[in-house]
Amino acid sequence: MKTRREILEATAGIAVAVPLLQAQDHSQHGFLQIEKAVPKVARFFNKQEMTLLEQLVEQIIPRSDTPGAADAKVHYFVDFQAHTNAKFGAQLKKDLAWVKKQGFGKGDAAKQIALLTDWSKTKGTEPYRVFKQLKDLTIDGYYGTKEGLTQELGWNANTFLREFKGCTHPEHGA
Amino acid sequence: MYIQKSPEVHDVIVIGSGAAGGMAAWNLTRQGVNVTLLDAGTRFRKEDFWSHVKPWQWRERVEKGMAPPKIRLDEKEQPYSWKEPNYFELIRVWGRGGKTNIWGRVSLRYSDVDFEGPAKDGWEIPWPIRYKDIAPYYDKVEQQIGVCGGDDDQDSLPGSKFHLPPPALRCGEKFLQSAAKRQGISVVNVRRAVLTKPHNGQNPCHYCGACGRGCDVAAFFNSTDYLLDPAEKTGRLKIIDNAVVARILLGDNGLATGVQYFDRYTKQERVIQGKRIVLGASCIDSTRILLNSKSAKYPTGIGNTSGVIGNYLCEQVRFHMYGFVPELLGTKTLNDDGIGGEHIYMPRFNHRDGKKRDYLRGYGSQFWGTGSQPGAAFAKQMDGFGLSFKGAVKKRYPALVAMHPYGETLPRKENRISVEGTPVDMYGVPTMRIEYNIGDNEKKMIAEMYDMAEGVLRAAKAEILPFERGWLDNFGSAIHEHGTCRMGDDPKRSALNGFNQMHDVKNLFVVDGSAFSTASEKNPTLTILALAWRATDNLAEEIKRGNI
Repeated sequence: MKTRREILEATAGIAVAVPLLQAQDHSQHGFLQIEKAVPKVARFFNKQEMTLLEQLVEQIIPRSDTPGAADAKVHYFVDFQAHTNAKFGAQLKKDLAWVKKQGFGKGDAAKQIALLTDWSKTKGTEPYRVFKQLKDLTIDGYYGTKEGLTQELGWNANTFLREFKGCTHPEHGA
Repeated sequence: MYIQKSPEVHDVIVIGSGAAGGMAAWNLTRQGVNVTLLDAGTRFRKEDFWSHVKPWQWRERVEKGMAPPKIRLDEKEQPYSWKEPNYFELIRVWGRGGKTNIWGRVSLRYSDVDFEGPAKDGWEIPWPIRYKDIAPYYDKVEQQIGVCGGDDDQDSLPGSKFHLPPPALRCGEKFLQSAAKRQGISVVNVRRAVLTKPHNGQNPCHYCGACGRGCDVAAFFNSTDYLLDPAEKTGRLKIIDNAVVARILLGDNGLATGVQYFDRYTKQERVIQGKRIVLGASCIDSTRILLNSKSAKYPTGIGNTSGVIGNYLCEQVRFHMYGFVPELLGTKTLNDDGIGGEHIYMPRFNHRDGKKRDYLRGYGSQFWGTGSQPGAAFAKQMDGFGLSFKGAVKKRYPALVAMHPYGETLPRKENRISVEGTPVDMYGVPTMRIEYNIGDNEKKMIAEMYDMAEGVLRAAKAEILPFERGWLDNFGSAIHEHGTCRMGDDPKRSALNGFNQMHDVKNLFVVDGSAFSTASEKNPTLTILALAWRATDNLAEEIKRGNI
């Protein structure tokens, strides 16, 4: 017996092919969301650099009762940004080499947090620039993943609604 | 090189397929006039829009080498330059429907506060029309395209009995509305060209919030579905795709005789002849075409005896301010997509309180980005990292509110588009150079705009994200260019009359934002549509009378 997912995947192509026939009730929109994720591969950084990146993003947005940045494969997001922008990638490579030199990769969690704390408090310096760059990339990466957006933030939008109810709290703005 | 010249003389040639050109073609064909429309691109397929691709799916598609449909024109294809250090951001869409494929859809009527402004304060030329002249056309446009909104009119924002139901407000919008009220400022329902119920056979909005990627069911006005497709059904509209217009040609009789254009991809030069020409290629591109249309009679561009064409470019000044409403911190995340963009609008109010300002004109505010968004870019402005940071972001996420004030810029001669001494494009046609800056008037207004925005957020007791007072978004980023072929009663100071007809070249009409005498603080598309309808009503009548 086919699973619900298999049925939806099988019918997705049909729905895409005849969108206008069903436009009146928009019933195709539920199907368009089914797409297979592909396994992540590093395209720019080497294995050691990817391990270091994974540690960095996880310390910036760690696992809690929801997945962290490493669970959400944010290090691959950073890798792809580097892959598509050679100048940016070269700078990030240098930054990672500097992070490695500070002993981040070999340190335990406490040491890693201590290093990030130091860098985050020195606005206007090179360590702060490195920290801020990695932090911003982690934010962009994590809160654009299914884990970050839906599991952590509860986002459930860009979908079909027959009615938009808006705020249903009479006390709001009163 | 061989130039293809068709012997046919077309009744009316319309240049451009967006709001202006689309309206001209639709209104003329339904009145029995044959139209040939030149479009710089082709039709965009709604099936190709990435309207319902989730953020992570978007990423995966890009990683696989896929790309969303290319709607915006790549600057490399049609370069332009600007006078350093003032970058001018220029967003263009070459293809059926133009920018109406991805526009913001805010549809505000100009009022006599706008139309009478220059006559009252004496800055530059007065508008040749008043609200009463255009009001019937606003009524018609709203019935044709469908605009949702409230009945909460203002003297600066005339209402309409044709509005579709307004969308419900989001939580954050209610807090902003009441906070503004405590500051003595009215915030009303937004007027937006989105169908909140079925209208004229078009689908209603399904609240997916992805309007900026193109609507796959045409639930908001776009020129293709709402104007050009019906016009084609009359059998009187012929569309020529990929026709990049270079020049409008002038005859010995002082009238426009045709159009020179290049095939976008083969680069073949072609000429078609026409009895009347309606130019609606958007403010900037229309101006480029006019300025490049030089002749012995008009050495600085067709119909430019006044010397105003290319000058008096107006765009709006704007900035963004964000905060978090305390009552919404840590609340359950809701689906805040709605009709895409904000559901409220702050009309201009600074003319009402009786206080004398040290600047002219006014500003309003938009509020897009209020409520839960498909991302949390605001987190970059928060300090820290780790578990506490993650928790702080989550707590603030449902509480995000945003303000985006828009201010009018005065028309100034030195803000201009020129084609003199610029490099040529791939067709050998001079490209544009844009010189743009703001003056003391805008700087003084911006200071008050910052006070207002901060005051409203403070009245909401919001935690305000850090901002730099005086910072402005890029010039051009509002995508509301106006004024470079302005209308007026005085032919020495304007290029067009009140019916968008050239003073100098009687069979040439310019119907896009370049025709505006001032920019106001409002989004212009509804007014472009109304003026284009009015202009082509006049043209159709004149054709019937045998006058043009």
